[in-house]
Amino acid sequence: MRYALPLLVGCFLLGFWEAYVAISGIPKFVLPAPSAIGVALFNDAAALAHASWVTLRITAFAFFWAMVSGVGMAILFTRARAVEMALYPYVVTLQVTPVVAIAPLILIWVGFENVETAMVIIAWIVAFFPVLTNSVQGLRSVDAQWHDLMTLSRANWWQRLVYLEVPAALPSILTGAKISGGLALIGAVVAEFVAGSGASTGLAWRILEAGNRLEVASMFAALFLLSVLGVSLFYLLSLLEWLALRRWHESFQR
Amino acid sequence: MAPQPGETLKLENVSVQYPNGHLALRDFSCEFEAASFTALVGPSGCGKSTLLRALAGLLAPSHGHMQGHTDRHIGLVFQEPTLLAWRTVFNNVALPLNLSGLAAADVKQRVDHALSMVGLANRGDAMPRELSGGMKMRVSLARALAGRPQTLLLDEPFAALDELTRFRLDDDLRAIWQQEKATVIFVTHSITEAAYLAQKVLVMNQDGKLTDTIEVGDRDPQSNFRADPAYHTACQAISQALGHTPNPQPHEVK
Repeated sequence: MRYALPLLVGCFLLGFWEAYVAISGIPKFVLPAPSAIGVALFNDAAALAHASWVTLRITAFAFFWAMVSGVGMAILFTRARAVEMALYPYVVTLQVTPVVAIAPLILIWVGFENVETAMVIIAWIVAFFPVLTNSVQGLRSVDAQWHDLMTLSRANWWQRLVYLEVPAALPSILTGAKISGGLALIGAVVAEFVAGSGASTGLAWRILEAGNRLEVASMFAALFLLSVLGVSLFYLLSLLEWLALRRWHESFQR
Repeated sequence: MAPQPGETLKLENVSVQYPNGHLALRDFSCEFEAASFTALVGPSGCGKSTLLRALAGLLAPSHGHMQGHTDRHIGLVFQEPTLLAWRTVFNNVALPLNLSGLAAADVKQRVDHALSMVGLANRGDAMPRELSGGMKMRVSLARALAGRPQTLLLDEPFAALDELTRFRLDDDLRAIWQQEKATVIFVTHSITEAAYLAQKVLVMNQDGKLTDTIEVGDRDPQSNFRADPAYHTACQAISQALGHTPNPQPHEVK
């Protein structure tokens, strides 16, 4: 039922779409039929696979750096209140300033010859914040009694981090990771839109290009692959969460 | 096998004032003889837990001083089991030993011994969430015992448990005390529990002052102490010291 029901809905919608396009005679540069999209997907397979790889690479790097910097900064923030007070306003500023507006600057600084680096940075800015806030919240909500226990056992700061704080904060960190994974992809698409060039052509760049040529079926094909990428990323991170927490966390006890 | 009994713990005019100005413990002087069992009773908020935290070295007294205090050998049991949900029962008990860098073989031997003392010898692989409240408390007790403490501090450890479970744990705790020869200091708000467990009961008042010391009579190891007149005398004396006039017939049958 869990799989059959959504599948049934999908088939019904696709059938309706196909029939509507056939009956209404709507031009294919406005709305192509699902079958035409399938054909475009097949014909452009090689180019689309390469584009997917580019987008995936940017997303993965941005996500990786978002995790490293987000968790790292969270540890720093929870250990040194002064650092948090000093840096937090700037982190928020970076977060609330629309990334599209900063993108040209980053492109100039990093240099047009390093477009991919610039795109990773742009996607990282989008993806980084939820990791930071969720990790800070997770690290902070460790009960005082557990800290007493560590004090009593004369744990040094590293032991306190590894034995207590990080595992206790893991559920929050992984929640942040799930949000951040999706945002990294969005960030990669935004980056391609504002900074993409012929040198580095990901899926979003394909969409722009196909749009300019009114090849709407190709647009849909790239869009479809973007969705597949996003969904895969989400389920991959959910799997990771399940593997890490299933033995002990309440959320996995039926 | 059993550790050496520690020295007499001596407190002289100890006061604890919190940073917000609240004086939680006022001019507290008393002695805890080596291998003795002392209960600490008083209304909630009277500074019982503060005293325990000071004894554990988690809190520095603002006045007075403590003697015979080797906090390397202190075991502390909190009101909640305070188990780390992601570690097995065995690894929870082993945690303080791991932190102190004890060799794995010694850790295993000590943890196995501690778990058998609390009657959980075969539950080492269980996760905390699989255990009942009473069993979690036993694990918490085993964790404190695994460090072979000379002083065992317990902060209302069985308060949240049902009465039958509590009676059983009280008996087990007494047996462990006799076997391990540790100095036990037991905070409770139950008059009957204090009278049943301890050799000496310290009564504190709302202002964090020690008001009475009640010696509980020796018990006949062959008979049930709850039926012993010495137990009822102690109960009555404690209630009186707490400012509560007991019913002249404590066991009124309806």
